[in-house]
Amino acid sequence: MAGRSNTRRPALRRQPSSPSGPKAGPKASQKSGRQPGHNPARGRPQSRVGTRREPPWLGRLPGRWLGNHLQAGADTLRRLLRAPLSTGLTVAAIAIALALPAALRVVLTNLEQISANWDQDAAMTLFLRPGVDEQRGAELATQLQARADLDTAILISRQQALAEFRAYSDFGAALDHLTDNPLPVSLLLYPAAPYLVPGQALGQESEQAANTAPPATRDLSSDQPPVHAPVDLERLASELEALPEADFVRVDALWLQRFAAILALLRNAALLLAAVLGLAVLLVVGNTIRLEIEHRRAEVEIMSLVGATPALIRRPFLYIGAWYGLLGGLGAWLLIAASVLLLHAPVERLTGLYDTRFDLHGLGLAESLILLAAATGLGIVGGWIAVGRHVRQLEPR
Amino acid sequence: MIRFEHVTKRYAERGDALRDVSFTLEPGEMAFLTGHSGAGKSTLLRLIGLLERPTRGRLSVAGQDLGALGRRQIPLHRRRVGMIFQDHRLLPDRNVFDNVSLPLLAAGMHPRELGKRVRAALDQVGLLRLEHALPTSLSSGEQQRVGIARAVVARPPVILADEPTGNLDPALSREIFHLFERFHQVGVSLLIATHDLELIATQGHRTLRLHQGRLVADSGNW
Ligand SMILES: Nc1ncnc2c1ncn2[C@@H]1O[C@H](COP(=O)(O)OP(=O)(O)O)[C@@H](O)[C@H]1O
Ligand SMILES: [Mg+2]
Repeated sequence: MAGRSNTRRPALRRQPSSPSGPKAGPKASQKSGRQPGHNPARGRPQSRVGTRREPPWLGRLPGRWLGNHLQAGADTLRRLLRAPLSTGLTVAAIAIALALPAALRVVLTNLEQISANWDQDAAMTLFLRPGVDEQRGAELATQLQARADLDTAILISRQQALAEFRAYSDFGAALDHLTDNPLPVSLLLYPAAPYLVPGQALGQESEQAANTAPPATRDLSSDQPPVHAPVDLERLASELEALPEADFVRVDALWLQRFAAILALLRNAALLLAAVLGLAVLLVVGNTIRLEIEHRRAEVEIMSLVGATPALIRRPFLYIGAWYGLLGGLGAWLLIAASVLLLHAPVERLTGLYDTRFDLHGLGLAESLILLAAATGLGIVGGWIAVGRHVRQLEPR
Repeated sequence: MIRFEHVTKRYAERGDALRDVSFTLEPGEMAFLTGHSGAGKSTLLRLIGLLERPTRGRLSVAGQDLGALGRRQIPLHRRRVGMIFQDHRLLPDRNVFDNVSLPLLAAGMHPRELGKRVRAALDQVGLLRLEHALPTSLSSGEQQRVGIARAVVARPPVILADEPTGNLDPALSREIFHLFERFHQVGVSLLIATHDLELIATQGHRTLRLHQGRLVADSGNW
């Protein structure tokens, strides 16, 4: 077979890399002149098209790269919009899956806003025994205000209590028929800060108090020792209840503590929900793209055959994933924005009843961007997972 | 240009499709590859295009040992080998122009820059006027010419054709071979698997004959 190649020598003269061949040179140039489209020669000087093969585009690489990507992104979107129904269904599924954790997040933000208002005045109400009159109540208020763990004590007279009750409840008309005011004298108490904030802070600070060095040591070591130990609202309440004039103490903050525990639970639930539904988004996108690849199998194979890199083969499918994610994210955002808009009036009415100023918040700018970015990211990852297996199948064995 | 050294390709299910094949195709050479159905012609071409890898032996193209090419270098290699198939392998939902432009897109060329090259390739195969047609609206011979245009548009130094005239009548087959002859004249190396013994006889090119995976003859006259 080696001898064979010797007899084949003449062919060598037509070899592109040896333009010095005595006969083939002019002949080849004549041919290629007539057929500008086919010229396998590398660096053959007379080929106009050939010189274009290695244009000095290395310098404009970022521009070309970006251009290619923009083109791919636009092409993919156009493709998706050509099948509006199937695209719409997939996008809707993603939007709903994303809207649930995002909505929970919105609910949490609003609930936290409420509890933040309450935190500011962790108030407690000391209801005095029915027989105790307002003068005694006033004395008690002065007395209590002197305590280190109480900031302010405000006397609420029986008339004030009745007026307030009349204003904020639906029993106004019924109260008109009462000859006697059934409400006792009460004191509105504001504990001195710092106090143990119910919920997370309560847990942390009591642990700290139990586990760290005794107060004396701490005073020595710290530059600015606290004025007093944090007020334990529950202990304060039981102390106040022990007063002879006291009937009972209602600690609004205790309810707050339970509320905070519920919030913490909801926060964990939101994380879990986000994880599970994020996975659902991956599955939806992954499966949709898997079908798309199946559908475009011939194209994928031919692109691979003609020398497309795996990155280039993956690209349109990653763009599909990105678009699905982004459109799904936008859908989720719209769902939430619409819900907030719809709920605004009812919530306003509700909070009006409780005399709280409360604005219903939707998703903030940062949260919206995070939602969209996460959605797009999930779409791309879903696409990557779906396309990865197919690209590996294209490798030669 | 193409060098096989004791190349064996074994399929787990079928045994050896190629057995100890050695030959060299010089740069610019045009040769036919023939043999009965199942002799291993397609397998041999697929090895050159690095669609598959040999089980044993060494295979190099343009001096490059294909065994040394990693995963990332495969696309580059394939861009330097134009492949033509009996069933054309065109994308039915893309028009002729788009089909032919695929190798250029694969090479990273911007869609706006490739018009000239694509039209030049279409001009060579005489299909310039059909650039907007869908492949399904074309005759079998025209489809094959689109496949050829796609194989040459990126100007690869090697062209492989796997029974390119299998479905064509003699007149169309002669046209196709005439095209190959012209690529040969501008210096491209060609390896063409075919059953068309009559045509081979009239062409007088080197012929490699496979029989049950073995290279049993290597001449223009067997
Ligand atoms: N992908 C494959 N898996 C298993 N066996 C294969 C595969 N491709 C080809 N073969 C076998 O290898 C042998 C050669 O096939 P092929 O190269 O297609 O022959 P030809 O193209 O000459 O008709 C045949 O026996 C065929 O069944
Ligand atoms: Mg075959």
